[in-house]
Amino acid sequence: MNLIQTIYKTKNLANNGIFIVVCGLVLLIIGYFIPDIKSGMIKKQIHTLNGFTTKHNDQTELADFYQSIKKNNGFLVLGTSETTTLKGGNYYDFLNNDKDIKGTKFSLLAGAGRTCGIHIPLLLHHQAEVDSLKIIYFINPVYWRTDLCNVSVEYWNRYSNYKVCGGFDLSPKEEKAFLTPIMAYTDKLNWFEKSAQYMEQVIRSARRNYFHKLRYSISPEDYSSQFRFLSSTKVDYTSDPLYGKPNLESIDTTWNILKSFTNKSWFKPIDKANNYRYEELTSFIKLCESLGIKATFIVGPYNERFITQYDPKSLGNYNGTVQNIKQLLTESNAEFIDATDISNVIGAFNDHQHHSSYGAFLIYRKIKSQLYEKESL
Amino acid sequence: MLFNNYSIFICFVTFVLIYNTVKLVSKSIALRNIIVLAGNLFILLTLVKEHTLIVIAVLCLLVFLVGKVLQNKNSRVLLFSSLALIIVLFSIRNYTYIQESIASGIFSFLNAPILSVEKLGLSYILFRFVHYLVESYKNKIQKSNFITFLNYIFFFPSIIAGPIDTYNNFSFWIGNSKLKYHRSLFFAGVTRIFMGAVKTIGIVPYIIHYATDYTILTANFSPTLAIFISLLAYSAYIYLDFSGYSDIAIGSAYLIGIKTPENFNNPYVSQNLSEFWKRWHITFSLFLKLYVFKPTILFYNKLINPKHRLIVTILCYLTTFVICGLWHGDKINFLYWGLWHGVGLAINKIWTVKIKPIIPFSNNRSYAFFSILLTFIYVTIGWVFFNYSEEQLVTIYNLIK
Repeated sequence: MNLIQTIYKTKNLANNGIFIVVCGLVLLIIGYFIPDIKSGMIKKQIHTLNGFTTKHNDQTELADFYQSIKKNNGFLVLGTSETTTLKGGNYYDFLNNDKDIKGTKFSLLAGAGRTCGIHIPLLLHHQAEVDSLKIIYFINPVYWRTDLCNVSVEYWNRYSNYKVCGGFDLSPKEEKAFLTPIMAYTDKLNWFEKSAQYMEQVIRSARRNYFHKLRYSISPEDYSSQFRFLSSTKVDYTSDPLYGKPNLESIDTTWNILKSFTNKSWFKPIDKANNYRYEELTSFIKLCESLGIKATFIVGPYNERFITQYDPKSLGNYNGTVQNIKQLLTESNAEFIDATDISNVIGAFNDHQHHSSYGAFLIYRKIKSQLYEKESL
Repeated sequence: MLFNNYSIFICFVTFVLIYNTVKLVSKSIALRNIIVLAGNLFILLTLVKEHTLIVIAVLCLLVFLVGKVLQNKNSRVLLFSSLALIIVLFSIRNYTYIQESIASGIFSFLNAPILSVEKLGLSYILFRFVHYLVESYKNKIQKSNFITFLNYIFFFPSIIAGPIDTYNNFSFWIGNSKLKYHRSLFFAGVTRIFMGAVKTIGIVPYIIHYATDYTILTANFSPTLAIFISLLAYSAYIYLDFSGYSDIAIGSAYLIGIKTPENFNNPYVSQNLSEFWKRWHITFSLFLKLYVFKPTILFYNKLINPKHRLIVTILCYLTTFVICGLWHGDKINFLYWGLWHGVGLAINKIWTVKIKPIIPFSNNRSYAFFSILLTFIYVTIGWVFFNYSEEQLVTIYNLIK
């Protein structure tokens, strides 16, 4: 007990404190001299990356992620909440487990609100790695709704970072073409948020000197353990009795949603006056074209029956928006798959804005049909 | 966790730099107070919304003014009515069943402003309000300043989970100008933060899962053994996490020259439960002793013949620890936990008064060792009630019976 009490004396704590401060500073400085590990060690296709890696643009991991997809002739699937995990399987799960599609796998970067603009900073920071990368981007028309049609600082903060949104070597013309979504986000940040995010990146970089550079320099075999790879073992979705069928027992056919989804009073119309989502999509298409990315867009379905039940007058605006998106893609010479005919299919939705596993199956069939013909998978 | 995101950490480092620079160049206590207030509010705004701080600031003003009146005029009615009012307000915010019961009642108008206040640190704010009012009434706080009072309430290192400082101590340190001692305190603070970080970041993440959920261990061990190991892990986890948090809070306060009281003193080497509560969450135990236990003794002394002191003490222990249990949460398991400690303290009191004096070996080392072991086992079993819900407790009981 005496020993502990001696340690806790202010004088002793202070002496130790000086030692800790000096050591901390020395470690901080030495850290910057630790050589970075090289990318290119990964051979297997990486399934997905954790959110912090993409948020902070961890250079080596991102480079390896993109390269691993290219090396394996894979696709990178980008999307919002509809493209996340789905009970019974989502469209990319069905693609990954399709026996007809040989030698091609589908990696994933998706999440609620992770619209195409959020990927722009990462693509600009990895121009060499994403050259000739094949991507599929799922456009969910609900992002043209009144509550989602603007840039969302919350979503950008979740997936990106102020410091990652800068430092590009672009001409003024390119800036104008590609950076509209980024500017919309950074303009909304106040000085405190900007400096906090900047410092966050600096602290993370100091931390990575030891937890990344030093760690993997000493033990390179540990580097790959941080990734999730596309498993070689296939999940047999086809054995599920509901595979490729609507779950009619669980569906409220009038609203075309799961009976368990009770939030029928929730509805937001389209904001026709707001152009942000069109601008975001345009920037993304231009960037893909400029960087040599082979992008295929999916114009996703929207729950027509739900909208008709709630507010039939709003349906016209939803239809109009989808037509505008398709027109934009056509005018931009972008390849796209039109999945909007699923909008009225019974059982294709779990709720007012997310497709069901059956909806995902129908989308998968469309992707397979179009890409199989074009890519001869 | 105090620094649960980078923004708070960056704000804090900036604040410490500005504050210490100002302290070096200016001796103005008012200026220091204003910088500390700005720092506190700025950092708290990264955790809660503006209206929470505004509502609490308004309450601070009211409590401060009542305290001022109490310092000059010993009005028992004013003290009790103000205490009752703030306890009612905080109870409405903290307890779901009270909210539900008043939602449609005549006090429903209270719901909107109170429920809009975020819960962060509310209990500790309540403790400080109670302390300030009672000590003002007792004339132990004779002088107070509103900005210092706001800083005392909003002091961010200790707002979330203590330590609960006294107003006089806080006021003394914020006005202290001994730069040499401040330098020592600064580096001592660095060490305390380092020690806290080792506990909370270096050790706790490795034991938390086994500690909080015994079922993880059932794959490798029998259910009884899994519960036993999980309990030991929980004892270690709750101590390391809480004392580590306190280390960081105390260290953070040291960095700006404020010496907040200690909160832990090797609680698991206590020889009895009474000693345990003098070593565990010390400032909270002291609060319970001063503002719950002692008034309860006075109350029971009026009801029960003073000859039966032992009965009065036992009743006070039970009352205090039922309140202590309920303060930790509005679930029944916390009540059980409070009762467990209340009963344990009562048994300890009976042992100390009636049995220990007649035992011949009560002063030797073996007795001390077994006392420590027994106290540790008792406290550790008590954590079951703290950690698991009522339904889980039934499952555990069925597994081990």
